[in-house]
Amino acid sequence: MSQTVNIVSVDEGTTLGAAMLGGLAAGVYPDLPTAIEQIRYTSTPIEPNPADAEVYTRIFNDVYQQYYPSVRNLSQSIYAIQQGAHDGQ
Amino acid sequence: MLNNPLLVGIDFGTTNIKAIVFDPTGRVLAGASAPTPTYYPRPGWAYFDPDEVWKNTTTLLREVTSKVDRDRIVSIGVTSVGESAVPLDANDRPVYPAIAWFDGRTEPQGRWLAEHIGADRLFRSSGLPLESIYSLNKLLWLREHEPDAFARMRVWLYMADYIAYRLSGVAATDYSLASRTLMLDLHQLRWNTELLDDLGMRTDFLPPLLPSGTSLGPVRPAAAAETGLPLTTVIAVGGHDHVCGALAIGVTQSGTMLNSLGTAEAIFLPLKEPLADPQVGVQGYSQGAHVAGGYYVFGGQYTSGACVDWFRNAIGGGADYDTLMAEAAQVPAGSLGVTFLPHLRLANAPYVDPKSRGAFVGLSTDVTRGVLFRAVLEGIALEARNSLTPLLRHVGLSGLNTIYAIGGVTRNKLQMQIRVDFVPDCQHRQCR
Repeated sequence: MSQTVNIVSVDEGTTLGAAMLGGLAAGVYPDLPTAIEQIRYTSTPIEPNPADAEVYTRIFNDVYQQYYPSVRNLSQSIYAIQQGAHDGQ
Repeated sequence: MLNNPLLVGIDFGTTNIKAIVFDPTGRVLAGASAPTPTYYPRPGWAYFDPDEVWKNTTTLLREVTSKVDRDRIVSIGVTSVGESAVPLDANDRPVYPAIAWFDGRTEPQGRWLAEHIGADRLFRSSGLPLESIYSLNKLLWLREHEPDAFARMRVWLYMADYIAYRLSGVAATDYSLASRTLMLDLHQLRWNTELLDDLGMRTDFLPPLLPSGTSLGPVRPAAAAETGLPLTTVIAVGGHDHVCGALAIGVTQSGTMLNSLGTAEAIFLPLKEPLADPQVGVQGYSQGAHVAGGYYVFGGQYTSGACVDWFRNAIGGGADYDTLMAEAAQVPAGSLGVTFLPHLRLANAPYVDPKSRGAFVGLSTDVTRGVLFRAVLEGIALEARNSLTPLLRHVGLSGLNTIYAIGGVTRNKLQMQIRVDFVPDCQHRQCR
């Protein structure tokens, strides 16, 4: 976990994708690969923090992977109670 | 072709509707947004009001067209959340509101489909897990509970298609939005009419399937007058929001990953062909057609940014995000042992469980608001890792060449740092 990750981003990406499809329909771009080539992206490097990453890996392995399986039955019971309360109203 | 053309994008999201004017390099020249008109008539129910959707869209378009040299506008493409659709009658009036994608009322329809059609068959044709949010469940609900409305329905249009229809007068959908219905034959890219026949359901309301980026023709004169668009504006077939995000950033090749961070979050991996292993569906990963051709598989979480918004309102006392982020930044990694499970609507792949709920564990008297907020940020990142890890195995990748992130959250330094620290080890990671 010691490599830099570059967060590649573009403003309003989802909306831009829709606009690019419009540009294709209107003939602004001959095809989508050309459209992608024309978009200007920004890139922000983020250095991982190795000490924090180690803490997170332990939490992921030792806590988080057991989290949902441990509370699943509670959610089932809560759901049943809530359904009963709703039906009784 | 006009010099210096301008392209308009419309995004119908869970929280906001946006209209943005771009130049062909993706530079934002003007933008406007309005809240998505969402109503909650009963616990677990939610709908979008179609007339208000259109009214807000025209207001937004009037606003952005007044901010730019409007005669340079050549096109509009619309993207939206999936699963939700507007049923229109022969006079183009909604026969029922658009049931929100996350609406919980259709759970019995999901169970009925599991019993009578079977998750296996649905996965084989659609590439999807059997979840009750997909559009087929909404159609079954409408037929059962609003039979008159169902009978009067002439066409069923996904939110992006509805807006494009109001603009152009032409009804159509694309493969990416159709991928969220359970009704698309993903392998042959056609409606699975055999399935609807077996359900005793007519198929005439399904809109024609067209590739994203196909022209629907020019804007209707009445819509041009309402919005300020030039009469020559071409309206395009759009697509599903996360997939349009992938297109914008160039995530079309296997080995790349898009992390799209909004109210919901997608972990999106392009594929050449759909994955056939039924475990992919059993674990709740969904697949679909890419707007750029080819396919994708995705995991992620239904409530990502939604957890942050929820925290701010329910626990944060409405404090602004900068204050909450500053408090969380003071807390060491691991949030003093507090761990948050971000299942505020339902569970996420590799778990399928609409009854799942969120949780905090590890509370103590040392825990402050900042600690809880950091635990929420870490919980979202833990959930993303939990969703990505099995997905990489399914796709057969030992690591990723490039990770791309989009969405407003990418501007938040603390949240992105936590995410980067959570990315599973990738042997050959060369992020660009």
